[in-house]
Amino acid sequence: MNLIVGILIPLLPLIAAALCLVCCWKHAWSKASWVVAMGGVVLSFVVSMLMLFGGAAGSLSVYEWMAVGDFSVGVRYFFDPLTLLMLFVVTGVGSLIVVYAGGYMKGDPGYPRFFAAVALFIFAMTTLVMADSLVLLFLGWEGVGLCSYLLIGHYFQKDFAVQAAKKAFIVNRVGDFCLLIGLFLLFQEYGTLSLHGYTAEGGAVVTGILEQATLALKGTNGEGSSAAIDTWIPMLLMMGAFGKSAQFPLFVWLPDAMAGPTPVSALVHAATMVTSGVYLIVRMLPVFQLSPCALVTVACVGGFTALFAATIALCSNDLKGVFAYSTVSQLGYMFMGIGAVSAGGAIMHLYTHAFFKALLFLTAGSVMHALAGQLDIRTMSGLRHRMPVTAALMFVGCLALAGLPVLSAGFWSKDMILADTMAVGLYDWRGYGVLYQVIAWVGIVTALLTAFYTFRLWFTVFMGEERFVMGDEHHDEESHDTHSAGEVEAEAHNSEQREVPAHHDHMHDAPHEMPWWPMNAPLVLLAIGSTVVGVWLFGLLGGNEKAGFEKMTLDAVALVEHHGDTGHGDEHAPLPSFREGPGEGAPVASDSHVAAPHAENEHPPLTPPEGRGIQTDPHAAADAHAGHHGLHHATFLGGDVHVVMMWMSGLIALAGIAAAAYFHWVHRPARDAVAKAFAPVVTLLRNKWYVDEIYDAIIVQPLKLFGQVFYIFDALLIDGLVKLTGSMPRILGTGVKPAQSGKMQGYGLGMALGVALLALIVLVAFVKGTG
Amino acid sequence: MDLPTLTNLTLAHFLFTGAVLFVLGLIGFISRRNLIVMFLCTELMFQGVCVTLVAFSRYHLNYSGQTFVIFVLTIAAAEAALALGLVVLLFRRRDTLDALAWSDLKG
Repeated sequence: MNLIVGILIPLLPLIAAALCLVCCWKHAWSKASWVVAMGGVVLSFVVSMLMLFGGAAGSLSVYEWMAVGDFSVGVRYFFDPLTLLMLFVVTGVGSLIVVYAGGYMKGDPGYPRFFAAVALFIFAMTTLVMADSLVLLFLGWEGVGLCSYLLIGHYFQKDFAVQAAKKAFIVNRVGDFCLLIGLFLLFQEYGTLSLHGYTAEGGAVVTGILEQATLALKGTNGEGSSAAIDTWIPMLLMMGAFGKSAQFPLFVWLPDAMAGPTPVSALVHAATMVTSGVYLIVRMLPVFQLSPCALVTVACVGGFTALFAATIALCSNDLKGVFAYSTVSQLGYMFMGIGAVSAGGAIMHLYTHAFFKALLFLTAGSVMHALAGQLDIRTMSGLRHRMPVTAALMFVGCLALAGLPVLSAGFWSKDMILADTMAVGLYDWRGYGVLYQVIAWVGIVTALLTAFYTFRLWFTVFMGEERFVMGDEHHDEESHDTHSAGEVEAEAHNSEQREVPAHHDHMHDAPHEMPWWPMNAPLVLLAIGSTVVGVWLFGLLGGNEKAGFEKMTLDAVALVEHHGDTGHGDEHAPLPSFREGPGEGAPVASDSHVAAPHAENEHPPLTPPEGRGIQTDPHAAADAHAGHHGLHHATFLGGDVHVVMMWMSGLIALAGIAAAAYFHWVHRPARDAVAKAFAPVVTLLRNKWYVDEIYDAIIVQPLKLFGQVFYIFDALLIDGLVKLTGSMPRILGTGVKPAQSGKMQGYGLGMALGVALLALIVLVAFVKGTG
Repeated sequence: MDLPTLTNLTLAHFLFTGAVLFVLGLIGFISRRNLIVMFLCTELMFQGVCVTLVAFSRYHLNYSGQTFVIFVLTIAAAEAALALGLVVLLFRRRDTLDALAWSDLKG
């Protein structure tokens, strides 16, 4: 497969975006923009799949962007299983969402503008995942940020949308600033910003960051470097990832980002853009491993965010708000997975999450569309008869999010993360064992909450007696009458009710089912991807442990493991148990003796060389003695950690679903009783732990105060000086002003007298000179 | 004043004539308020200077002075066309030729 075809992947959506802008020219052309955008994205998907199944690998240098001395930035793309998998998610899920959006956005005055931004987003996102140079990656990174801003602010006539767009942009700036500093430090430390090595045009060989980091990691026997800069770099990159992927300190923008049209929430703020932080860390795994504490920080923040966001989702009454917070929570799971060196689990969860969360958002969009923009789930009940297909599709999505054992995709990926985290904790990796175990337990509690809030929503909306209130454009205030925590809080909640339906031709009719084309058909594909079929597809696409993405990450993981007699670590490190068939769920017995030689031959660059000083390292020697029963096959509660965790997360998901069914379907009065008993807690959660208010108090208000002080300083001191300087000529001028009489004769006389005086002086001088 | 001095034209006579013309022009310019008259007075001053230049030129047998006068005349002609046009425009604005009508920049 010629890699040059890869240029088409970002190029086609870019051309589509340009053509969509042309469609803005005339109203009659605006309908064509959907077809153009769809064409661009679908073709890009086709090219991606050609490359994936053609086994594309290696780097493709398109042209040299800029060169300053030794530093050169080339537009170079890199294809490996991870990139191709990301391309599948971005362009594949993107295609389905663009198809759906054609129906959803119908009648919107910004129709071509919307599709131009979506196509541009796909361009930026594919650039991000394909970039080999971190500068190019940063370009894509900022590109998706820009498109996110444009799409959140799609309804720019609405104040809440503008506010949300600004909030997203500004909060992302904080993360991006850290990322940029991280890139500076990377350049300083590694002398290049290229991820993989390449041969420059002059024949000079440049060693990539990842190769250098891997070597350095080997030099420390996988223990991590003690140099401060090796921790600073991943910490700063991490902040960038947290900003983009909405993790704890910087998550506040994502729930507000739901002000954008629902397909955007599905594409940008659930399936693709927000996972770019996860991609970044997985891509830079060796750099993160090089720091002794970076990964555990990632895991802690991920675990905390997962639980924190899940508690907020528990009490949110906003249809999209529940899914927004669940997205934050699921992203927390992914970071938890990376933190536990389970890149396989993180990427698998990214993949399954892209399917089921896109499905959930789009079905939520259908419900909202049918109810003319209504978002408050308290006004909805028993809609299953009105919208049977949507109900069924959302049910599939909810099962995946809740993690229904065996049949749903979310179960396998979430279980993989939880099991790997627990296993790493039991292994006491780098001495953070207890911390990882706590994080794993947090993950299990979060799984319970996830199952509960997901089905709370579904049972509330679709079960029980039929009841609904149609929304309208001015629904912002009415649904939040129960919140009485003051003006600031009301302000914050107004932004929760954000969506304006694309058209209102059925404003006060009863809700109806969406048409199959173009709305429900793509959802069926997403629903299929959300089941165990998606897991099978994942294996097909890149989950292949021998050659695919998983092999790649296994090799990366091998670097941190001391055990294993050939120095390769456990080849089955984060083994997803789905490959043994859904039923039994037992991980494959350790057979790294067999697997190791293969690994050696197939992937020389990432596998450590023979005899990398294991015998000199006491830990390594001990681990080698322990064989490959170390990191991922620990015993937990009397069984293999993978099996036990699988049972546990499965049972917990079922328990959550059952509880939700009892409180929100079978016996709804019980729900109200519980809510009353825990009223203060409910109020706290409804107000999202007052995070927005706290940020307002400790960041926004001091900044405003700071600005006020400087305004006064400017008005008094700076302006005063300037005005004083300006007034000086006027003060001086009043003395000589009468000379300007306005009479031409006066000027003439003055001139004549002046000339006469000069002549007299010359004359006197002349006379004196000669006399 | 003896006769030969009057019959023999010397440089001084020409310079005197030039000076008289110039001063007449100057006095006229300062004392009159009619824009056209003021303009004519400036022309008079021009001619006073020109006479002086020609006189010196002839006296020193250096033709630069006369050449210069040709230039001055040319430019004066062009300037006269412009200036009269401006005077007409100014007259249309204020319906008077009084120079005092234009004293907006009075301090």
